[in-house]
Amino acid sequence: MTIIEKINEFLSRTSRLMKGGGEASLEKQKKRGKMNARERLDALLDGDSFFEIDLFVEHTAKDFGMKGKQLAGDGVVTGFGRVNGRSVAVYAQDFTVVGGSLGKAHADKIVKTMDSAGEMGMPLIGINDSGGARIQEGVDSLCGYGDIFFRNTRLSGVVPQISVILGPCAGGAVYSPALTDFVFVVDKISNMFITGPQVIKTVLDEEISAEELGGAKTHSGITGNAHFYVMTEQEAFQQIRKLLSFLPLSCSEKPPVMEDIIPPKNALNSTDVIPADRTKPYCVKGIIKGIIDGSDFLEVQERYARNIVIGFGRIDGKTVGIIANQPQFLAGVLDVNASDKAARFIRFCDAFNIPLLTLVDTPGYLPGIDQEHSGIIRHGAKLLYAYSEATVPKLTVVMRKAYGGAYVAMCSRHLGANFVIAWPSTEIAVMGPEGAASIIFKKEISESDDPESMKKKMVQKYEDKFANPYIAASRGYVDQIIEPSETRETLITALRLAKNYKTNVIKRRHGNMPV
Amino acid sequence: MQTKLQELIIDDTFYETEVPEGYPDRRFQGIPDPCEARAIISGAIVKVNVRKGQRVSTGQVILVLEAMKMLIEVEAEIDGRIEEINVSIGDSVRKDQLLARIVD
Repeated sequence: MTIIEKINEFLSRTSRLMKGGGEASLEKQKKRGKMNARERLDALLDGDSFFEIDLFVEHTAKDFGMKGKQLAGDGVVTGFGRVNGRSVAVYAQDFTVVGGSLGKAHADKIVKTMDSAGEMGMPLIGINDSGGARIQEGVDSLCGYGDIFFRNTRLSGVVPQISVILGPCAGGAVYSPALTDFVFVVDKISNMFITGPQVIKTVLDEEISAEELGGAKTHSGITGNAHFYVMTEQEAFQQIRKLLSFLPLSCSEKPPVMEDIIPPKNALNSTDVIPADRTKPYCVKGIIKGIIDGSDFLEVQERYARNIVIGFGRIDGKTVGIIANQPQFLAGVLDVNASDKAARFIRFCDAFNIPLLTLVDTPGYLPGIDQEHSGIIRHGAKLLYAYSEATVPKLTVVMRKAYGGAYVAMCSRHLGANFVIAWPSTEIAVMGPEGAASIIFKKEISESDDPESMKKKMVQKYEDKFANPYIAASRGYVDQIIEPSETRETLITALRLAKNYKTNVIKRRHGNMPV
Repeated sequence: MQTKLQELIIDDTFYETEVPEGYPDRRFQGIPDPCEARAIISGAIVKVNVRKGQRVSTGQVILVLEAMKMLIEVEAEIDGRIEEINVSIGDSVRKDQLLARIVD
């Protein structure tokens, strides 16, 4: 064979492999309204930056007609690329090749990408579109899943890991995304479940559609498995690019700092940012946007446990992770789901050197039988644990209510906050005036001729004395009381002061967070 | 998203806020009634050990339910007498369906 012939053979092999499952399958994927694996990588990465590896990998399975069967890239495209000029490791399962099913060689390609991501210190982005295990390969395919889960876990907190679900993701396959930091789902395209609707119908005689059981809406609104819900694949890739702009490439770096600092669009004004009446709602996202650079807030888990708002923004060009009670939804109470949501986010930020900004306005932990029986003690404890454990700078702004255990839990001084700032509307107390008065003045109220008006009087008495920031400030639990309009400037100064903040990380194998 | 402001009571205070549909009413919550034996999972009744009027004691197996190829024993949660029994062998039952009721 001449050199020219050898090169031609190489070119023809390459061009065949680049077509994945072939023209017909690619056309079918398009008809389903879905992009194919290579289009997806192009949409995610900077133009022409994809650097593919393992295009020529083949499976070695022999049973069930697999012998000699050629599967392009074994159903997954892997490699590296750049997002806004910064390196990332990527893999995209190719549904056009035997349904993107996961065999041993397929898994080994993913594993290799994961190992490289860890060794070279760059985020890992996995695009999932797979029918599941490749049954013909039996336990080898299970080995493949196990190898991936193992690495997802070992990479956790080392490099950011992002999963995009762009098709079915069933059975064991769901656990890789579940182990990663952020899961993106797309309306009417993503499906995730342990057992699909057919199995549920056969075994339990219960009918449910795939969409209702494990569609994008379900996972972003009900289960909390997904962090970002978008309408199109394109939107998912744009959101991932945006998310990455807030994050460092690995735990050994600090997040990138933006040079251009744009002030918020609507700066906070002191007198009408929040209602003075503690029982009246408002949307806390307005406050967040009034504090951060360019009012540019990337909310995480927007549709899940809406009583707490989490997400990324920048102050003074630096990334901060924001955790805020949302008085508009369930009065901003802490419950099982809100605690889980916030705790996991706090731990992510702590792992990747992202300072925490906590905005507090909560009446407390949600009382009730269903919460107690759902384990609010165990789940609520996660919030305490995550804040206490975090060694990044922690800034807290108390806006209005901060009662009881929830005051402590929302990054109080006692859990290691570096700066606690309070607005004059703050009420830091063991509980709200109504509840407290009925307990403290129980006797006076019940023995009064007019218990109703007596209670009102006692509530007022308690309110005058305790519903303010001054008692907490007199103990040094609050560092500063400021007007709302001064919040942004105060936080900029606090962040600059905390720039080199270092606290001892306890030497131990690891803690035992309640899960 | 639709915003429907309602009231949520916490520590004697009425908060005006959005409460999602189907959220348990915090004022009138019940705990599971120990007098009621309900199906914990959808399945089929394979055994009925008691008849109406029979005395049972706590922990006694009153019914056996088969679901997902497993036999699930339904026990009496209190001492008492079987007041009603709503199923017989071979019946398919849904999750949470009332199977039997016991009175003290």
